[in-house]
Amino acid sequence: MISNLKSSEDVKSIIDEVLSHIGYIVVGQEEVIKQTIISILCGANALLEGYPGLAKTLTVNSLSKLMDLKFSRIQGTPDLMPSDIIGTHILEEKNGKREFSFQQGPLFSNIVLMDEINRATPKTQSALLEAMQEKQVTVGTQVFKMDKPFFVLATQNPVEQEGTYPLPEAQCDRFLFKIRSQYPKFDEEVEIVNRFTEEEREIDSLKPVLGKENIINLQKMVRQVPVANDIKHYAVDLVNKTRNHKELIEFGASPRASLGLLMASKAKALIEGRNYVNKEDINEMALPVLRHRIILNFEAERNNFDADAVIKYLLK
Amino acid sequence: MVNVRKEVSRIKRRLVLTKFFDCFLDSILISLLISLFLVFFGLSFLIAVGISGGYLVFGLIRSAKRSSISEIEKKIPGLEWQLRTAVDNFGKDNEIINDLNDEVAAKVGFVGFYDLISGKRTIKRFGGLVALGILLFYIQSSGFNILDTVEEFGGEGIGSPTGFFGGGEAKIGDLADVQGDGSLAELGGEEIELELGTVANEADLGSEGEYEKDVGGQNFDGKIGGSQDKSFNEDINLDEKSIVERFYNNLNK
Repeated sequence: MISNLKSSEDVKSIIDEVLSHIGYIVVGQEEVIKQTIISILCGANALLEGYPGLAKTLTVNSLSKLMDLKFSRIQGTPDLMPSDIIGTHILEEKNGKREFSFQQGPLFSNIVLMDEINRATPKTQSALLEAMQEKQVTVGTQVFKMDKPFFVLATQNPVEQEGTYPLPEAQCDRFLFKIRSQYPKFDEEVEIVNRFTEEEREIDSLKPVLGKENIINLQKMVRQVPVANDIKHYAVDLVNKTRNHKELIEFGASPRASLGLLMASKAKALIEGRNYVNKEDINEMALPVLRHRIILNFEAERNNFDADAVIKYLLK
Repeated sequence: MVNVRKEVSRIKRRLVLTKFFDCFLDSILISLLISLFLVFFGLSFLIAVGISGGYLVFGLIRSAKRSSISEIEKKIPGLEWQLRTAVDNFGKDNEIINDLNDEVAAKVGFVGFYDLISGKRTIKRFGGLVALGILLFYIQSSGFNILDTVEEFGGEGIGSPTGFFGGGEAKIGDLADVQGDGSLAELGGEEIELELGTVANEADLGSEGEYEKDVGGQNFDGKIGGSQDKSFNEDINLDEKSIVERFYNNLNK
């Protein structure tokens, strides 16, 4: 594990190393991996949307191994209760006395994969809210701080909407990114077939490249990346446009989107070895940051525009 | 840590200097263009100098005001967004910003006058300057005047060719008279016009006896007539008076 990360060049080299190690397990999906790393460096959460079998769980699990972070996976189901993920008080006997003690749930990890979040009930979904935003959990009168770094990656299936509970807007806003995983390209799929039918590649074979301290240090470094005033204005202007283009967008993004857009751009610049943010960073990060924060109106939907098409239009 | 603030001020000064240079070239171009127009009408070149001078002053003020960091970034692509970011974050101190400042200072250090100036544009301007200069020289030396041309085709002239800074109608006696020595027929404050058929010519008063033999390198067989606007009297020295009288007597024979 690396001991000292000082410059953007150091960050680039270590992230490149993480990417090369993860490439041993996951074929393709570079954008998904990159955006997931950016989310972790921003200390934010991400919503991963993709069809089953696109290596979502594998990616997150591999990242947690490489970053030496505690990983837990929760499967969203309609009967999943908040206490199943947060934890609950159990009766324990200590020194001849019986008392309640808090048994932590799977949420108390560094990386939490909430699989098929939209299958869980709104009650359970909202139990995640405090942990995601405040990095703490309140049970009764007790407040439990989450271990740092804390990152929730929730997945949802874009099809099979029957029996699901779409995420409320307030909860969507708490995800920095909505990452879309795509089917692999033909060559990549051939590589997947070759790799996993001929040999067995275990996630456990991955050795940690970064430690918790490194991640916390990287998160500090992201905040230190300077941004030109013109870039700040450009980002805020873009978010403002989502509120002003009423002909396509019914509800625009909140100021949290401006914040997220700049943070994500800073992290992207840093992992690319730059110590400044440019316009391309903002443009590239605009799609995953804004696509789940805008609600299109009937006119846009009638014309078969999706959120990505509208954001691209705003970027022009 | 390199003083990036100092380096940025230095490159800004260079940018202003470059703009001054561009402005100077532009004003010369404007001056030549206007001169070209003026020479066709035989108007004073002072107008061209005035307009281009005004443009130069206006341009200098405007370029000094509008010199911005983004302009330097456009000219030096390697500095794009970096320079602006460094300038906007002056005074902040952390390792990433310090790295950025060092990088910017190193890159800015290599930027010279020739990096900021647009080579193609400057070459085009110089080309324009040379072409206009040659054209102007040619027209000036050939004595072409659009008013004379109009007159030749039956129009009415409103002026006559003048010297570089001349103005108004040319008179015998003007220092810049295209005919040459202006003192030849100047008698006091009065003006004498000599009409020799359709050819206006000069007469050398010092060798009045030889005028009819050879005037302008040619012999004139026809009649030579002379007219006098006004009699000349007391203002003429006695010595000169006799010369002039003899001259006119000979003319009237």
